[in-house]
Amino acid sequence: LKRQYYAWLFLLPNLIIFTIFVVTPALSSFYYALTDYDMIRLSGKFVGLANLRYLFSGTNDFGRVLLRTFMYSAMVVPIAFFTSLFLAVVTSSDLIKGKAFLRALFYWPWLLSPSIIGVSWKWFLDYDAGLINILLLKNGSSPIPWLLDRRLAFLSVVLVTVWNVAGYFMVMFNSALTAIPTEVYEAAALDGANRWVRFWKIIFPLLKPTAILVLVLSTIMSMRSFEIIYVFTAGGPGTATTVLAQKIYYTAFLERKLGMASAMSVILFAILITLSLVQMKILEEET
Amino acid sequence: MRKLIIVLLNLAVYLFALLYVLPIVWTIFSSFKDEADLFSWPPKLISQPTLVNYLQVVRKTQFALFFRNSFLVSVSATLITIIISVMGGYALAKYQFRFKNQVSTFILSMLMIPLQVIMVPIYLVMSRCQDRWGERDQDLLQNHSAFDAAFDRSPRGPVFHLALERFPLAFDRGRFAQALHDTTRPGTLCGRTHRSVGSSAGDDRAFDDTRSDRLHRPSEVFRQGHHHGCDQVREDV
Repeated sequence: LKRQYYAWLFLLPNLIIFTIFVVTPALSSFYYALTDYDMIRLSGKFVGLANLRYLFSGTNDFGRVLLRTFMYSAMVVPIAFFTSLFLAVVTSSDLIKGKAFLRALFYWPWLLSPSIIGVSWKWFLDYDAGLINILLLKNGSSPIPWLLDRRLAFLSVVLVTVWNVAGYFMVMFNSALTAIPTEVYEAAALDGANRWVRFWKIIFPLLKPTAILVLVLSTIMSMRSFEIIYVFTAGGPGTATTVLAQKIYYTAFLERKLGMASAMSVILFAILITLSLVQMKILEEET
Repeated sequence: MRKLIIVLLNLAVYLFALLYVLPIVWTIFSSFKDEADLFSWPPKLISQPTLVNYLQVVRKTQFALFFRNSFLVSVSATLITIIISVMGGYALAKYQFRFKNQVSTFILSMLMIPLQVIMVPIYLVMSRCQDRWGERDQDLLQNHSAFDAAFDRSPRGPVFHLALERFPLAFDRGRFAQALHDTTRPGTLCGRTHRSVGSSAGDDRAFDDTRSDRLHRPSEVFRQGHHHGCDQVREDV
């Protein structure tokens, strides 16, 4: 009994901080979602489900933002998956010298602060002073309006997100690849098939648990991505790169409609919880 | 012939790596150019390096203040995180007690709550703290977002806020580190000797207990990966 006592004592600071900074705000977020709380009056009255009804009424751009978020996710997830797998294979290959250095290099973007990434890429793709457009001009072609065109801006945001997370997932794939014993590679080599076939037929199936994890994590990450886009394009041009997290931020802190913003975050929460449950379910089946 | 291909392959990979980090490298290069060179026509790739931008940062912005804030936030966040997560991790790894699984599931499920969901209420809490404990800068509330405020002046609210934000992850690592302690030994990589690793039989049991409910986390999946790999080998060979 005394031991139990100590265990709770050790857990206490943990639980207190969680309660104050996570549980309470999360619960009150659900409450605010049912009010028309705004930041000017700093008060609000209970309005029930009016916020949710408004968001899905089709009279505002919330539906489009939601759709855009899914589209963004649908692009980021597969591209990031194959990019990181590619990087991992390259940096695990026996044929390449200086693997550790390369890994560190590809991992670098993950370590940078989102604001640095946003500023760097903004500068890199700048219409007048960005490196790419400078090189295009030197070769006599016309500059590309990376961040001024709606579609290009969206693609740029996807690109930067992939660039940011690929190194992180690469490390996951790396450790999974390292964990495959050399015997497997040797046995595969004896089979005689070429490297490409060998990889997809023999090595890739062994990476399945990691692959699933990467897919789910990247889905969750992309559904909630905010900081980089905020610095990089600020959701523009227009609302071309405004995703759900952005929309919540603008609604809460620019339009100052805290109730409405909370309703949106409850929707985001529902999406993320669903994804997490799917993740757990899949991983349970795996074991 | 084969050698040539390998050399070319290496070259290609390094070229790709260079392109990969080019945006950051370009930013670093740009920081040494003066304004005229940045927008000069025709554009220059390399120009006379200058430290003028760095001097500007020191002279014209409150760089020292920003730096102090960052420093305060990261040091206190790290300290709080380490202390409470080591304590919590220790309790969960070492002791057997009622509701242990529930507590650990509870803490892990908190990891799933994204910042955006708790952002608004936390902002309200922070702004009320501000009203109460000084920092009576109305501007802060009226014109700045919580995020701006976090990097603006008051270290108090943001410290906790950031501590909280990183805390779950580090908590994870606190326990992870203990689990890692045995998983990284070469013997366990292939799941051959699972039992012999902990410092005592009791410890081992504790580790195993805490593991069962953490199947959805990276460390676990890696381990599963290892097992899969090994099983496969046994079947193959």
